[in-house]
Amino acid sequence: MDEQQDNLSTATETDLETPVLEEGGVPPVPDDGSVPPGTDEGGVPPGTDDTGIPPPDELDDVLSMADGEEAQRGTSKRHQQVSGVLTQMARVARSFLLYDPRNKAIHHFLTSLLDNLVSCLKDGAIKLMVQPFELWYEGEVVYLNRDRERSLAFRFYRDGVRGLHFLPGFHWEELAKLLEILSIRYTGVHQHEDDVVTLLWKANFKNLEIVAVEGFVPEDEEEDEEEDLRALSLRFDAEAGGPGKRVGGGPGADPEAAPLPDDVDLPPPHLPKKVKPDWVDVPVHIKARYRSEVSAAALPSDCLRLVRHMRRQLDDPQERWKYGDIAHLFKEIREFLLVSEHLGPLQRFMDIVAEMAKAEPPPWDQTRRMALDDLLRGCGDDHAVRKLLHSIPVEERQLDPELLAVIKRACADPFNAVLDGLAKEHGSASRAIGRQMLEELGKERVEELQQRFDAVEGHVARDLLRVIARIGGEQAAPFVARQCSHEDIEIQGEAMRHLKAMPYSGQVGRAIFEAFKTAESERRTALLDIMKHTGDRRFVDNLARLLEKQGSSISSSDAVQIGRLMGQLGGERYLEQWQAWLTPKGWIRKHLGGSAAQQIAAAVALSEIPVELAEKTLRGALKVADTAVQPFIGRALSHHRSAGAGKEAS
Amino acid sequence: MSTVDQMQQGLEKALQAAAQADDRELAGRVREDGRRLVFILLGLLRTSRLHDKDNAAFETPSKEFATTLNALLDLLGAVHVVCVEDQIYVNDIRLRGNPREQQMIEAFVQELARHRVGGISFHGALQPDAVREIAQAVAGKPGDESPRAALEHKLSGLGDIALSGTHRFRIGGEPTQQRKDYEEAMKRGASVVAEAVQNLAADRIPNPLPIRRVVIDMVTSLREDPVDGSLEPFRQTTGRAGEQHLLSVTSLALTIGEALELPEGAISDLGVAAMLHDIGYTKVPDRTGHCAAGARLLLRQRGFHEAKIRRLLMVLEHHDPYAPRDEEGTSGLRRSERMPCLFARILRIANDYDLLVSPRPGQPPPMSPSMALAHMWSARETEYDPNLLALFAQVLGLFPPGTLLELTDGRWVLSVSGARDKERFSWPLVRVVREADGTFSDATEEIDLYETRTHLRPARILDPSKMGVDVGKQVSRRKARDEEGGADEEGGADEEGGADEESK
Repeated sequence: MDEQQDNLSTATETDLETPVLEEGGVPPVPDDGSVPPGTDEGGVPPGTDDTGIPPPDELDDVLSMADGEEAQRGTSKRHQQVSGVLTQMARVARSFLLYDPRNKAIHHFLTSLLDNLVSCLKDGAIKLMVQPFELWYEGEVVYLNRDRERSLAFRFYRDGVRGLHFLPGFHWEELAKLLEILSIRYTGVHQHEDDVVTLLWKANFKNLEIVAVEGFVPEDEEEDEEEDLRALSLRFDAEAGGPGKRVGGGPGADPEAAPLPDDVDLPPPHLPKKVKPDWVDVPVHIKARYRSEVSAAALPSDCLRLVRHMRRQLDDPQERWKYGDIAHLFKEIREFLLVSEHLGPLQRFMDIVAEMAKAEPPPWDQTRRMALDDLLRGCGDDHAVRKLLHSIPVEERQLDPELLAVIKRACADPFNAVLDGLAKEHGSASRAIGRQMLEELGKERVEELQQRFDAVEGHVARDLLRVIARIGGEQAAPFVARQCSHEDIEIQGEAMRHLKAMPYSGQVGRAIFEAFKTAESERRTALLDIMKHTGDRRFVDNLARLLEKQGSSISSSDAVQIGRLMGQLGGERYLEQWQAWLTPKGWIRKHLGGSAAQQIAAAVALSEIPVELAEKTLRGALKVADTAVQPFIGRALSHHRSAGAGKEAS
Repeated sequence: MSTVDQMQQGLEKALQAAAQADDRELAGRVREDGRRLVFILLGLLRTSRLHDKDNAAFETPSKEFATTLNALLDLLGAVHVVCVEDQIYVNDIRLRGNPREQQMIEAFVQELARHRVGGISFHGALQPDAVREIAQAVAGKPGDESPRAALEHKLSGLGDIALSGTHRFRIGGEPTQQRKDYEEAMKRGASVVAEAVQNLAADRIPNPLPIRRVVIDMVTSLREDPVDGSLEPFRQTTGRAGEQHLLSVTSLALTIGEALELPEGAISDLGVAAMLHDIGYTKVPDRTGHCAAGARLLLRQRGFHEAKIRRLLMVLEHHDPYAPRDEEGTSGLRRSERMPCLFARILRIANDYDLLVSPRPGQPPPMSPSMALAHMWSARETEYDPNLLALFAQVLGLFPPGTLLELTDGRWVLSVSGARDKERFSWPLVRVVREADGTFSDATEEIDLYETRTHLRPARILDPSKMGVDVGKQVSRRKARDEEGGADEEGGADEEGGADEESK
């Protein structure tokens, strides 16, 4: 049973990251295909609430669901403050069961926890006593959760932590380290190399004092020894994880036998000369260089070194190793290297494995080649591509050519492999890099991309549309333009964002205008902006016809926007038409004809045309217009005058 | 990248690394079979209170217990069921349970506690009949005076079983006898190494965690008294020379690692690797093949962990010379890729030093530590990494701990300190083991040769085997006396250490 691990494995399914397009605006797309400056992936500007994360009030609800923490405790403000931090810490540590660690929700939780902890430590150290279900601070329970599997207190207690002293210098790196240890414990991964006590020892906290159990000992050592003497039994050395002097055993084993011979490594090395040793200083930088050999950064090259050793062993006729016996090591190393930061070593790993697979297998291991081919395929299967994509650092925006090289080399069909990988990926950086890879791989396969686009939805569709827009050229432009009428408002936005940068044609124009006719008011602004960008005067005629036919259903604000575009795009060429729209009709000539939207649009259009006649027409219309339209004509007149004054001044 | 971004990336990496290191299959099996073992035994105990041991109700659970136990023995070697407070561990893996199962776990703990027993270790397979007897014995009335001894008596002859006392968690910072720590750690190390050797020899899966715990204790105690590490080759912590070699080399390697200021994680990895570096001898008795054989044994451990990778490299390379030789398949590699890995370079020094200075049964007398270091010094750059050897020499000094010297006044002394610093590289602390008149001393008198260097200095290095001095015994005495001295200081005891007179 390991429900926590099961939860962890499905974490990405519950990713909260659902970026949406900013309403109304269409920020330009940078040439590298990255997210526009000042916006988040998909166009969400920082600071907006629409980040996909529930607002803070709801966050608490998300994380507190059935988690068993009892409400904030403590009689004094200080106790309550500490209680709040601990409850938050428990929730953050548990949150890794639900969310991918790089999720924005986690980011939010961490920021909040860090802020609160720092603020709490400003008032002095926090010295906690750990009980099975409670954490005590200065004589009061400040954390209580009776649920064993969820309780922070129980996790600490069960793992042998009996006291925690957060000192005022407690640093974010220490908090990160503590959360790492806690999260590993929450996820229920059993460590064969480490337990919590060894992990805490390794962490070497400077501003967190931990009172931890160091294994277990006899309850009463003296009495225990007496018992031992009486029983003439073998003593139990519990700290070693089992009986001390009584060793080994198991079926057929002789506990008294010594399987390690007395002459291990003998004879001693033969070193004929003697030289008097002296004190030789080892400079600090040399020591640091040596230490770097066992740093995390050196691990990939150690893996390759080990792979080369294994290769030699496998080919050694004396040893006669079979690949199948050590295949797990090769797979483990492959999995370790399958991340974006280890692309160089991954390539070299693939080189070695490919060479091994190419070589004639030795007589004692004839099935080796097949297994090695399988190992190589595993460098480019769905899982591998997904893993590579997922590992891209959050700040990364530029495709590393080496990543593309790895994908091209490892995958049988790199294009589809990346397409599939992108479909499952949520991280913004990973998606940006995935898109850039598709741009490289899909230049000749735009139609396939379009087909795939039609079959998917949500962020995957947005990603594909962006790729199509960037590489599809003239042929893809009408396709992208049609997406301005897509049922998904975010895809509409994506299409609009790219259209400006795409080649324009009549087909594109028609699609844009069709989209305009059905678009919501907010989107119309963006579409009008695109129309203006195209410079195509045919839009003026179409918009005029739309106003004539459907003016009564067009709002005043839309009419203003339409009018502005008509004026800017049409210029003096349409002066007479707008004049006609604002000329009183009928025999008494006291009323304007057409809908209010038509009149407003014409007025705004005239305000954009810097000729005297335009102003005269506006002045005349102002006198006879309905009271509802008059303010718009008044503003148009004022705009025309100020624009004209500006022109004169200039 | 913001602070929180960095935290997120660190957390992601840590979780990924933990997941990669996990051998879920093994942990799951031990947890499941361990739980079954405990619950069946608890059921048998309860049945024993209702039925006679010949009752058919015992039949199925006894067989099931025996089968489960045998499966675990095949997997793990010895099976240790250890109760600590209200928790049960089966070979380091804690049994988890829902609230009802937790009640059963606690009931099992109580059953054993009646006999003042906190753990049962099974070292061999059991027959179903024996399982019934065991259940009857545990369910029976505890002995009046020494219940655990009484239970052990009842169990004797039923199988290869050992009982242990009740346990509680030990808290860090609990008052402990600090001065004993190193020897305690080494005793535990001897026990853990012996078990690891036995298990690996029997083709069982390596379990580095107990070794790591001991290594951490060794590192902690070496920080209090670094000389302990360099004296280990002269001790007899375990009676088995092969295992003693592992312990000595580990101590020496940790000493070098400390001098290099390796981070905590790396130094514990180094120690675990050193403890297992010659494990291949359990399969291949010769020097040439034991490295590959050892790697093969360690390769049975599943899951990716940096410690495992570096351990394997160290086992494979620990006899390689520092200066790379041109070998097949290495032509395209950089020099750093052709020289042994750091752990192997450290181990090479520790290993050879131990081989030169530690006595082995049936072998010629070892070299004086001072001579050994001088010989090794001649092979700097070729056999040994010069910087690491320099660090080792900084710790040991010209007359490393365990060196027997004759002073200019005719007294014989044993070096008991390392170099201490550059100034005192050639002037160690020594203890008098023989007076100038030939009388053997109890080695209580300590002289700082740096202080006396103007009028009293080493005249020559002596060979202890020729001079009738047992360095190992002297080293143990030094420790014992230090402890007594410490106790005197703390407790004000006035008992003098009555050291034996040593006759030539």
